[in-house]
Amino acid sequence: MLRDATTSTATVRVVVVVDFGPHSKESPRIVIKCLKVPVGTNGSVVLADVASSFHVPAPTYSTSGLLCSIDGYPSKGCGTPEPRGYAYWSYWHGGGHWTYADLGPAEWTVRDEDVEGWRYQPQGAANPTDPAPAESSDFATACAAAATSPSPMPARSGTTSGSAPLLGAAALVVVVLGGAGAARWRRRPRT
Amino acid sequence: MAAAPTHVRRVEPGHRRRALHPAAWWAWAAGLATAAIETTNPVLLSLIAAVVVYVVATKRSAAPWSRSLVVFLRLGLIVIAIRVVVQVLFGDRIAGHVMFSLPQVSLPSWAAGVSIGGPVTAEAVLQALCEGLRLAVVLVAFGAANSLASPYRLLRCLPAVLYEAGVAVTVALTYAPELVTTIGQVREARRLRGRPIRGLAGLRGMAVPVLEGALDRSLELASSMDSRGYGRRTNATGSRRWATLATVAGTVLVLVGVYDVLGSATPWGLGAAALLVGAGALGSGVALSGRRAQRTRYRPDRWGGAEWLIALSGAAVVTAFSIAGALGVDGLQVSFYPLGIPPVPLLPCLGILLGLAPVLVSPTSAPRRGDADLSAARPRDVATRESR
Repeated sequence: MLRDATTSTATVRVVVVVDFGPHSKESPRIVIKCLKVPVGTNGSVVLADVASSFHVPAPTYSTSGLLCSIDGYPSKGCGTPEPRGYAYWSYWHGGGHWTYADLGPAEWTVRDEDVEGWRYQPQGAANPTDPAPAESSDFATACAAAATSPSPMPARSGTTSGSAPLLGAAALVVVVLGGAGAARWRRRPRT
Repeated sequence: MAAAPTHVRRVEPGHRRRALHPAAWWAWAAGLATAAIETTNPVLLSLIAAVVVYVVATKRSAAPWSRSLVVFLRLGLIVIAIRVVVQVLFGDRIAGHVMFSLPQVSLPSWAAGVSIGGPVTAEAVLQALCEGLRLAVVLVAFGAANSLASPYRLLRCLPAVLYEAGVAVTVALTYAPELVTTIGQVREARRLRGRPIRGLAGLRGMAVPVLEGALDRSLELASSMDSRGYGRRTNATGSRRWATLATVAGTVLVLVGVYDVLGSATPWGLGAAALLVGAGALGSGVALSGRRAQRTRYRPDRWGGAEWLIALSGAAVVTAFSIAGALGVDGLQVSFYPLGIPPVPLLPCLGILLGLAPVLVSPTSAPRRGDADLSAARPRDVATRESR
């Protein structure tokens, strides 16, 4: 569902490290997942695969393509300005040491033995000085830690908006106004 | 008047309709366009478009530029199509529900920010549709103002401070309505000669005469205004320089203020202050320069209760959106990641319906003979209007 099933069978091995930050109330704080994805998969699809393998909500993005939430956290806001910096999810690449990503997950194609790091920054500076995920950035170490790392909490009940009647009313108004306007347009205006 | 009216107009005694002030329609349209910029919610955008179409359909006159809305509606559809095609070809490759895959072009690592081809998700297409719709609705609001307000009457409300830039302002303000008028004339001429008016063949034959004709007509109007003393250069006095300076500085401050107030990233206080100071400078500049230009006006446009109602209804729509934005109401900005039905916020919906208030205004903005007095040097125009 998340990926085209007909792509080539060649796969790459990737580790995803998701660090919710020391001040979050998430438990566990760090989620690690070791997985195989087809060649040419981007970081955004890898992250979505992790979410679907744990049966937790898929990552959400804003209209500009900025990642807003992982596993439904944070539940509100997207890169919101805070008194000191921004509350956002920082994106890192591992392999020896953590490097602050200079491309978005959708633009980054993962290679074999890549380590994909995510860390929530409640008061981030939005530059490489922000703290990296608190986990080894080495592929073998992180993948071994994944075996013993606990799973994230199951899907929490999403906030379903009860705006169906309003949506219907708005659609009705659009149809009525549009229809009346079109009918009126055909009539020759008074001079 | 250069052309004697040959057409007898029905005027019921006691029910003499008067044309509404063109600035009122521009204020109303600007209000709805600003509201459209604030949102990507397809429900709110459709509601704005429906309100605009209904008001124009009920309030338009028989003037040739009253068909502007149709042209802008088509332009809007083209904008949406382009936005979706660009998204499909070069767009984001965020994970989602894949509808189909295009062959992907692998680019070198320094061009990794660009992607050509690849899987196309339902989310990405919906997002592109909504963003295209936003621009289309802004265009439709602009088309509505062009449909409802007479460009000639609008020019007469030009503040004196802009007289220097008279030619440029005239061309800018009248180009769109003149374009619509010219399209009608060129189509008619080609139809009479049996030439194609639809499809690619029609477009090829019409594009150049239409563009050239519209520019010519705008320039013609500009030069006729020039000959009547608009844009006349006289020796600059001290107060005039101050007026120009205040106007320029005020305009810049207003632009900065509007950007700050509309953009949610910057704090409100600074933007509001810049807006206030800028509006003050702009106002004093316009007032200062208005004192020196003493002109008599033939049948001046009145600004009455109807005009207040129209302008305030546009302002009410923006206010509803601003309040909703300040309250952090969910659903102004809609993201389709995750895929789902967008929430519909109540307050902006009710606000948009206030934009229907101009329907209540009794006089239709019918063109009058006095409408053509700025273009009196061009009997062709007057004749065109009579023939429709």
